[in-house]
Amino acid sequence: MDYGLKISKPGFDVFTAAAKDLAFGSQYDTLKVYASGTGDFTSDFSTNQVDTISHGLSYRPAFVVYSEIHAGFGEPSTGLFYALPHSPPFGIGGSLVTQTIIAGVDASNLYIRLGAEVVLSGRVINYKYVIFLNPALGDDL
Amino acid sequence: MADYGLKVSKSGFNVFTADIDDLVLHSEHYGPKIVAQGLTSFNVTSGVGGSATVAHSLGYAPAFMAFLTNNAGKARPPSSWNYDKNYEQFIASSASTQITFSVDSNANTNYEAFVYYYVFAEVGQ
Repeated sequence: MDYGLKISKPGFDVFTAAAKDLAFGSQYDTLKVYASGTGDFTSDFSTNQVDTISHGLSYRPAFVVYSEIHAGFGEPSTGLFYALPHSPPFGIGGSLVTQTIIAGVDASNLYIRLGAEVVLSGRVINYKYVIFLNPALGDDL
Repeated sequence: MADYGLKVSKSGFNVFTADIDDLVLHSEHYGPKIVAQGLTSFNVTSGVGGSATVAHSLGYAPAFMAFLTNNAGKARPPSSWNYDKNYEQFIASSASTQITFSVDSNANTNYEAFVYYYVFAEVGQ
């Protein structure tokens, strides 16, 4: 049976519009926000740091994380948030281990890892995250 | 143009006055529509890496989201280095007929990589 709700974008016929030209189509799943939040690191130039955020879901959920990064000369990009993962180009001295900010998720936690050498010691790096109900991997793995 | 559309507010907010952040749905500010999602896997070979493709029929390079894990490890998005292993990188790209997933040659063990992906109706490139 053909049923549901569709809303087309302005200028498109809702009866013939392609999926990309719909503002809403009930036949299409969408991302559903489960939790969001903020956090920060205070850099220690000798130590990589990992923040662990418990999500309470029993599977690995999809997520996005945005973080301040280095802005040059060891200082943070205060107020400018970049999508993770972030790694500086190797040509400007990027180190895969110590100058990278990345994130990962398991069935218990979201992990955000700040490499020791992203910014100089004592600098604050803020981040924001969104965890979706949609799985990053099903609970069958 | 007439004022029309559909709004649904979050619990506790008046749908007629709520800010966009306090709406669950606003047809003028639409969210991504998932046209396909699923699980794929491929074998990663030490020193070589590995890859897989997922075909679609959209005719344009769509936006997408994907996460990779070697089952026991953390799931991570494209361009991430696997700091639990040998810093091999998960790479993903979108084209008009397929999404391509790969792990680069920094891999130093053999394993089966699992990728859960979402393909959106929205144009990615």
